[in-house]
Parts: sequence; C-alpha cells; structure tokens
Amino acid sequence: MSFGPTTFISAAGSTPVLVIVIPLLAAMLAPIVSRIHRSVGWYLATTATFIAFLLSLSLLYTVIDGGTVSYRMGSWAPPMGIEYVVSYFNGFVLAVIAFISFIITLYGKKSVEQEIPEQKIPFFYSAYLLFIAGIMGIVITGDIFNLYVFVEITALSGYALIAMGKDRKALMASYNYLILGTIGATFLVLGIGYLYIATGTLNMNDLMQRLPEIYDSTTVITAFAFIMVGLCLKLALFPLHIWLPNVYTYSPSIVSALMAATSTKVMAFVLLRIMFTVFTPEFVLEVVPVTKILIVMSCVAIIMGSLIALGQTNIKRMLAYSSIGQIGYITLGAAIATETAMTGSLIHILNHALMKGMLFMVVGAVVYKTGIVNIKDMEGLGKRMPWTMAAFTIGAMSMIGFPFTVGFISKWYLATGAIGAGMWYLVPVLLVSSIMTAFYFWRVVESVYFKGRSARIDTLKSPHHSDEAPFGMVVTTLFLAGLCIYFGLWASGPVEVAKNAAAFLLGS
Amino acid sequence: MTEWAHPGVIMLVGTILIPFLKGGVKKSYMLLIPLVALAATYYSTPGTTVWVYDYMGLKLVFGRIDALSIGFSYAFCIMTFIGGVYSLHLDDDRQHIAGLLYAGSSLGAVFAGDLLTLFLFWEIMAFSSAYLIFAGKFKNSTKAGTRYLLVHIAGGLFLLAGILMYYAESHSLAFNGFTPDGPGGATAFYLILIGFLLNAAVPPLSAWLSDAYPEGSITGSVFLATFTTKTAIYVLIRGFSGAEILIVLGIIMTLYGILYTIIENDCRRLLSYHIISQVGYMVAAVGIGTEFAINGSAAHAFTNIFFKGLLFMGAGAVIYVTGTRKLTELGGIYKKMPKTVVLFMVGAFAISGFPLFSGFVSKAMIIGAAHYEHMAWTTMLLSLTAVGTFLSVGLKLAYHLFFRPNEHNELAMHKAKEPPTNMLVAMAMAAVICILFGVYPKALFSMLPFPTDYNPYTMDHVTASLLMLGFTALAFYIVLGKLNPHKTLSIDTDWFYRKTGGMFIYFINSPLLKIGDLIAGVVFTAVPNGLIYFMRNPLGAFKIGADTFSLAISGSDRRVKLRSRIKREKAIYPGDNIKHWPIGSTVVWVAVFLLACLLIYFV
Amino acid sequence: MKLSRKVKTIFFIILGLIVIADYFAPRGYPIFPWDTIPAFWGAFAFVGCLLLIGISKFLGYKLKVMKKEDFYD
Repeated sequence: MSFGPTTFISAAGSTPVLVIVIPLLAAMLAPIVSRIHRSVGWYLATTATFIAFLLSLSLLYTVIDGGTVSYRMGSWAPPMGIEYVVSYFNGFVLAVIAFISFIITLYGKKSVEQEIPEQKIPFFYSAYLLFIAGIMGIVITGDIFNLYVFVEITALSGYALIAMGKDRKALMASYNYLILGTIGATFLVLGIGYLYIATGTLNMNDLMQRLPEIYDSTTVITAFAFIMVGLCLKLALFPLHIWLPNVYTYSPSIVSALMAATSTKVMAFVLLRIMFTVFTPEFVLEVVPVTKILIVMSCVAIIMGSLIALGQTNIKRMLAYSSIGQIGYITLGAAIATETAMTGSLIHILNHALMKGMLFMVVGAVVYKTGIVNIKDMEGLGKRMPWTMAAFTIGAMSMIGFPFTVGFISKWYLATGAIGAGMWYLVPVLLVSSIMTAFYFWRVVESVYFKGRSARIDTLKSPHHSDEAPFGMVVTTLFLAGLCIYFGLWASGPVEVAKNAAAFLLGS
Repeated sequence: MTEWAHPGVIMLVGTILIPFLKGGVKKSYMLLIPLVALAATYYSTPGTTVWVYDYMGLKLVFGRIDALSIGFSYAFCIMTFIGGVYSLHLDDDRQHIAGLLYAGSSLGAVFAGDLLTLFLFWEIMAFSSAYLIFAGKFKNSTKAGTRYLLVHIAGGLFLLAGILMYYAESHSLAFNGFTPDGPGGATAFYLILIGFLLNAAVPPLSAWLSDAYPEGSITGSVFLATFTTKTAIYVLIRGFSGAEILIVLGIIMTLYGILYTIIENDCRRLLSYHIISQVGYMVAAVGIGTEFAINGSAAHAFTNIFFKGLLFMGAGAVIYVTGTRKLTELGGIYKKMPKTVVLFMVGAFAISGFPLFSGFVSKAMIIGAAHYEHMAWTTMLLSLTAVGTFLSVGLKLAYHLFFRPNEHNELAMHKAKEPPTNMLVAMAMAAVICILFGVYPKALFSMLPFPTDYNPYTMDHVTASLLMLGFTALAFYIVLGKLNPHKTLSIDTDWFYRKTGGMFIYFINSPLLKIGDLIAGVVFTAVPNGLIYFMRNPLGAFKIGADTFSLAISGSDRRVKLRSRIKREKAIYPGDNIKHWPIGSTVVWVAVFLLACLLIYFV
Repeated sequence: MKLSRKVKTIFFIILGLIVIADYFAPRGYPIFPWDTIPAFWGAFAFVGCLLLIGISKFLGYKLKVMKKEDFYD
C-alpha cells in the first residue's frame, strides 16, 4: 500500500477503521452535543451505530466477494504497525454486533430517558458508544495487544454503564465486575506478554507464522493457559460466571440488552480467534488437550446454567443464567472443532445475540411500563402487553429450539457436528438443556398467559397510558422476533457465511 | 395435477383471518376451512411427491401423497369439520385457532415426507393441543396442561435425538421404514420409536393422555381424541410396520386401557382410557404388519376417529349441560336429553362392534389379520378386549351416564337438557358416518392404503359377534343383579366413599400408572421444585441442610439452639443475593482453573 | 336394575336364536380348534367379562389402584 493521503481517504480502503472511528468520535461528541437537547445524544448514537452497521455490511460483502481485507493503521506495515483485518470470520461477527447495537440503540430512547437521571444521559451515551466502539475494535483488530486495549476500553465503559443502573446494587455489581474483569484482563495481558517475549511480535498473523516452531516451549504453553483463563473469566464460562448475573440484573435495561447480545459473544469470538488463528487447530487439538477440557467445561456450563436459571424468580437473572448456559453452546461447538460443529458455534453467536438481545429488550419494555422484574408479578401481562409478550414467546420458542427458529439451526448443527465427530454422548446434554430451557421459559409464559392478573399489575393500571410499551420499543423488539423466525426459515445465508468462516478457522 | 394445495397448510394459514371476522361470517368461515382442506385432499394425486424444498441443503418434503396419507387426510378433514360444528356456539377465538392449528399440523405430519418436516409439525401439534387443555379451565387444567406439554416436549426430543442420529449417519432425512440395523443403528431406531410411542400413548408412556384429556375443554377434547394418537398410528405405519414388539405393546395397551375403564368414575377419563385401549388395536395391527393388518389398522383409526369423537361429544354435551363429569353424580338423565342419548348410543354400539356399525368392520379386520397369521394369543386377547369394550362403554358407561337411578343426581337432573343444536348436529354427522361405514364398508375400504375385497358380513362372523355381545350383556346383568339394587359396578365405589367419609373415588393408580405418575411426579415436580429451591441460594440451602442433619444427630442440649437457627435460616431464605457475591471464591476458581490448565498441559 | 319378565324372556329367546344360528353358520376360515365349536364366543365373552370385572376389582381394591379424589391435592 502506498503512502499518502489518497489511500487514507479512499472509502473502500478505510472502511475497517471507520467502523471504529465513527462510534469513537460520536462518543466524544455525545457529551457536547447533548447540551443542545437531551435527546440529541440518542440521535447521535443511532446515527453512529447505523453508519457503523452499513459499513460493516459493506465490509462483509467486500470480504465475501474479494477475500480478506486488511488496513494498516497510520500506514505502518505489519508486523510493526497495527493491522485491522476483516476476514470471513470476523466480518460476519462484526456485522452481527453492529446490527444488534443499532437495533438496541434504536429501541432504547425512552428506556434511557426513564432509567438514567437526566444530567447523566450525555455521559451515558458517551460510555455507550465507547463500549460499542470497543467491541467492534475487538472484532476487527489484527493485533493482539490492540485487542487487549479494546477489551479494556469495553470493560471500562462497561463498568460505567452498569453503575448507572437505578438500583443501588448496580454499584456493587459494577464494582464486582470491575475487580473480576480486571483479573481477567490481567491474565490476558500476561499471556500476551509471554507470547511477545517468546516471539517478538504482536501481530496475529505473524504470531501464527512464528509460533508453531516453539509450540513445545513452556512459555508458549503458559501464555496460552493464561489467555484461556483470562478469556473464560471474561466470557463467564461456568464456574467463572459469578460477575455476570448481577451485571445483567442490575444494569439499566438497554445496557443489559446490549451486553447480553454482544459482550460475552465477542469474548467467545476472541477465544475462537486466539485458539484457531493465533494458535492453530493442530495446537489446540494435539499439542495441548485444550479442546477436551473445553468440552467438559462447556457441558458443565450448559447444564448448570440452565439448572440455576430454573431457580430464579427475577426474570433478568433467569435470562442471565440462561446466557451462561448458551455461552456453553458456543464454546462447545468450538471445542468439538469440526466444520459442522464450528458452524453451529458461529451461527449461535448470531442467533443467541438475536434471541437474548430481544428477550432483554422485552424485559426492558416491561420494566419501562410496569417496573416488574419478578416472574410471579408478571401474571396477566399477556393481555396488557400482547405484542411485547408475543415477541417474548417467539424468543422463548427459539431458545427451546423449536423447528425453523434460529435456536433450532444452532442446535441442529451442534448436534449433527457432535455426532459426526463421534461424540454422540453430547447430544443428550443438548437435549436435556433444551428441556430445562423449556421448563424455565414455560414458567414465565404460563405466568404471563394462563394465570389471573397479579395484584401488582392491577395497582399499576393507569388510565392515561396505554398498556402496551411505546411504539419504538415494540417495533424494534418485534423486528428482532421476526428475524428469529426469518433466519430460522431462510437460514442458508447466515449458515453459508458461518460455514465459510468455520472452514477459514479450521484452516481448510 | 402438478399443482397442489396442502390441506394442513390451508388450515394453518386459514387461522390468520379468524380474529378479524365477526358473527355469522366468522362461523361460516371456520366451517369453510376444513371443507376447503377436504377439497384439496380430493384433488390430490396419489403417488406424487410435491412441495419439496431445500433447507440448508436438507431436502424437505411437505407433500408425500399416497393412498395412506390421503386416507388419513380425509378422516382428519371431516373430523375437523365436525369438531368445528360442535364448537360453533363457542365464542373463543383462541380455542378455535388452537383447534385448527392442531388439526392443520396433524395433516402436516401426515403429508410430511421427511423427518424434519415431521418434527416441525409434531411440535406444533404439541403446543396447539396443550392450549386446548389449558382452555378447559377445570381445577387442574393448567397443571395437567403443563405436564402434558412438558411430556410432549420430552417425547419430541427423543424423536429429535433419533432423527439426529439417523441423519448424522445417512445424511438423509428420508422418512421410510426404520430397521434396527439401518442408519443410526438400534439407537436411532429405538429413539424414534419411543418418540412415536409416546404420542400413541403406549403404557407406561400413556399417563399424559388419561391425565390431560379429561381436563381439556369440552370442544377441545373432541380434537384431542382425534389427532395426536391417530397421527402416531400413521407414523408407526410408515416407519415401523411389522416391528414385532408392537404386537406385544398393542395387546398390553388394549387390556390396560380396558381394566381402567371398568373402575373409572370420571366419564371423560373413562373415554380416555378407551382411546388407549382402541389405539392398542391399531398398534398391534401395525406390529402384525401384513397388508391386511395395515389396512385394519388404518380402518380402525378412521372408524375410531368418528366413534370416539362421537362419544367424546356426547360426554362433552352431558358435562356442558350438567357441569359434572363424575358418574357417581350422573345417571337417570335420559328423559331430559333423549336425542343426545340416541346419538351417544350409536357411538357406543360402534365402538362395541355391533354388526352394521363401523367398529364391527374395522375390529374384524384387525382380529382377522391376527387370525390369518395364526396368532392364537393375539386373537384371544384382542377379542377379550372387544368384550371389555362393550362392557365398559356400551353397558357400564351408558347405563351410569344416562339410565341408572341415582339419588345423588338431583343437581344433574335439574340442569340436564338437550345441548345446543350445533352440538347435536355435529354428533348426528359423526353418527351417520359410524353407521355408513358399518352398512356400506366399501366407503371405508376406499380410504385404505391397500385395495381390499374383504367381507366382514359372513354368517359365522356375525353370529360370533352377536354371541359375544349377548353373553357380555348377560354377564353384566348377572353381576348387576347379585349386588343390591343400588350397587352397580361403581356402587362398590359408593361403599368405599361412604366408609371413608363422603368423598367420591375416581382416581385410579395402577402399578403401571403408578410408575408413570411417579416418574411424572419426580421428574416434573419434585426434582425441579427441589432444584429450584436449592438454586435460589445454594449456600443457604446447604446450610439449612447441614443444620437439619446435625439436628438429627445431636443431643438434646443443642437441639433448641439448632431448631431456632434452622427456623431463622428458613425464614430469610433465599435471602439477599448481594450479601454473598463471592469475589473471593471466583478468584479461587480462577486460580484452580489456571493450575488445572497448566497441570494438564504439562503433564 | 329390575327388568320385567317379558324383557328377560325376549332377551333369552334372542340369545338362544343366536346360539342356534351359530351352530348352523358355516365356518369361513377355521384355523384354531375352537373356531368350529358352536357358541364358543358366547362362553368366551361370558367368562371373559366376569374375568375382566374380577381383575379390575382386584386391581382397584387389593392393589390400591383406586384412591380418593383428592389423592393428588
């Protein structure tokens, strides 16, 4: 690539960096422009995420047409300079993340106005956009230290976002997450440091080239162990999940939705990325038995997450534990490491982002309208908020894995992948967790549709407001619900991309 | 004709308009849907495979049209129409929609040519039918519906697991005959079989049926009695005809069901056991697996749809007007609702196998098939069930429901009257079909998968049937006469409830059912509830458990202290989550995790 | 249930007629030894009916199959 201003400006060439720069710039602008009017922040965030989404889509198409796109930060050639790389694999994840962030932002206007104190709204949007810039950066960067920086950006803005929750416990949740997240990040950076010491490079491609010679070195293996543990803590793999339920429960609704849809998914993505593109499939399959450990851990996560979700009375907490189980699906597919299972894992990143984001949006709408988070208090809500609850039902069906919903696709690929790899004993794990999922979602659906009104709902009846959530919330939620079915019925598109990404990861 | 309209999809899509229509338009529209589906069935070309789609590289077949699927489609469409007429007085969109979704998905399952499509419709059936149980609004409807739904989701997962095993080995979803040494091996074979048998209500997987159907809504029960078990028979015919284990299971089913009907007090529960019993015939016939037996199985499915529907409609009419479903509170109401009685008796004669009624023809085919194959035990035991069927429906149920003088029936007598006209019309239609199939068996034979020129009306067969019916009636009368005038078969239950203080006895719990209930109780209540309790605060629950344990083993001096401590702990349980956010424990876990990773990597 | 003498008489006459008819009915497809015994199915039904009642009563009372209505509450 030649030096000079033309390269920098050329739209196609600089798309990778613009995806990050636009939310980042918007994050800086947000506190300033919000002085004009409090809702300007929201318009800014929506525009920024929308542009980021369009850019990520165009990137994905570029990748599908012409293969991997690379961008050199400041035109410094890698491995010295920082490189942004968009391949099949992360182009897909990037588009998913950008899309979900956009939808959630679109959804969140009223919810933010209600839940965040007015004087804090500018800073909220600032932290919010920073968070989005961070997760997109994690996905797109090709430099492992830069990845760590983005992880920290995400985490720090995340702490601030969580702490803005209405409940005082949000502070405590944020503080816990701060400590545990820092521990995770420390492990990550230690591991990266070891890799740097061993190889003298931080560029992922370069690492991939140089590492195989020294796979048996203690430093590399220790580095890998540190990175694994750090990431498992960050992606809340059971039993390192303890920070997550409180975070999801006490943070503002929109933050719960955003984090549930994106942050752990991105960490799972990083895990895949490091396992298969910094290290190689041979390393994780043959040199160290990490996939075997990960299979066991994933199964434990799937079962325990669903099991604990059964016991929850708070719907946000129930969804949080459900997420812990679902993370297990993603890591399970990665650990089986065949193309089919990996496809299931990748497609589940999209699918779970859709489903869980949507379910948290439903809860956000319920909280906005009634303040209810207890499953028992939701009795009779089906009549008051029919559209919102219809979306919830679709999400629940999808989580159970009803045929021709997105949840079914993931499970189908994971299960056939497991059987194909000769691990048929994983199928009962998937199915048992499905029935547990059915069980805990059923408790909500039963309460919502088949019980009388709860006393709590009757006291909330106000003659001035319609019972259904505001239009913007309902439409965005239903849109995602529709996608849960759409991508279930016409799955070929995403599946095709995920298949290619899986093939790319496994180096075939 | 290459173009084809899927009858099931017509019903599924047709439901969309229902909430937007009103009054007479809505009613005619709801009746029109099954008729259109019927017409679509009529214009189907046997032997064609249509509506084939590609789904992620999987071949989905929505329209496998052959004699077998068309026959079931006819029966289902007609019964949906009759059920629609029966529920015409009802102003409940959700029930109408659920009923049509249920019927449509059953048709979808019937026309499904591959396993994934089948599974899709299988699941829609489970969900839509569960709604019909919730809509019952009886005391236990919601709970029974929940149990029903979860059992069916579990059954669906068995099926799915089997499908996955099958697909992973063969990379094909083709839904044809399964064998234990086919793709996926015996595991796939038995997993799919279990999935099917659960829907066919084979003991001990049958507890859901007798548990949930009596709790369904009055109109919904008519649909429930029709679709789930018959669809299961259809898929058994497709996938497992000739599997010998089915003969044994079928015979067990028939007798199991019959024994319960004799001591049952809830009239719809009694009829539910009859479903199990009658489906047993069909399962056994599938197991015999000859062309004639398969014909018999399908024929009995078709006749059964109409006479069982008729009986459920009759019982439903009685419940609708009197508000009770216990035989101990009914009886003597024949004067108030003579039309219902006549129509009900047609159904009772049909199920009992009276000559000139439909059951006579189809039962003769199944028992005949066993006879031709020289299966002595099968012939005998199936005939015994035929005796029991007449005893419990034709005699016991009819007698107790309508004729028996009963001093506990004042309420029922007071309320009893003819049900709404639409109910009577629906029953009359079903009754006409019951008689038509009996008088003109060719109509029935034309719906069967294989051509047949069977003649059930041979003299020896007619006399044998009449002998069986006559002597059953005789035995019934003798047993009746030996007891004191009030003590009929269920008067024994009178004795029981008088002894124990005025409560009616109707719940039955056999060794087999007991196991089923136990499993249901443990799996669906005790374990989840225990887990739910435990998971609210594992640490706290553990503390309570430990204290309870030390209470049991400690001396008296510490007991008071321990008791108050347990009481305190239980009072605050599950407590505040914020108090036990263990950062420390996570750090320990991290350390353990790292250590474990390093150890495993290096060792 | 009290049936009048007339009804009973008619019932037994019909039963008798069926038995006689069965005696003369040609057996279409006899396989088992009992297929040719006249009125076999009558005896079978009579015994079977009593047997079924007996077994179900045995199940109901001796094996405690029947429970009070509020058993599950």
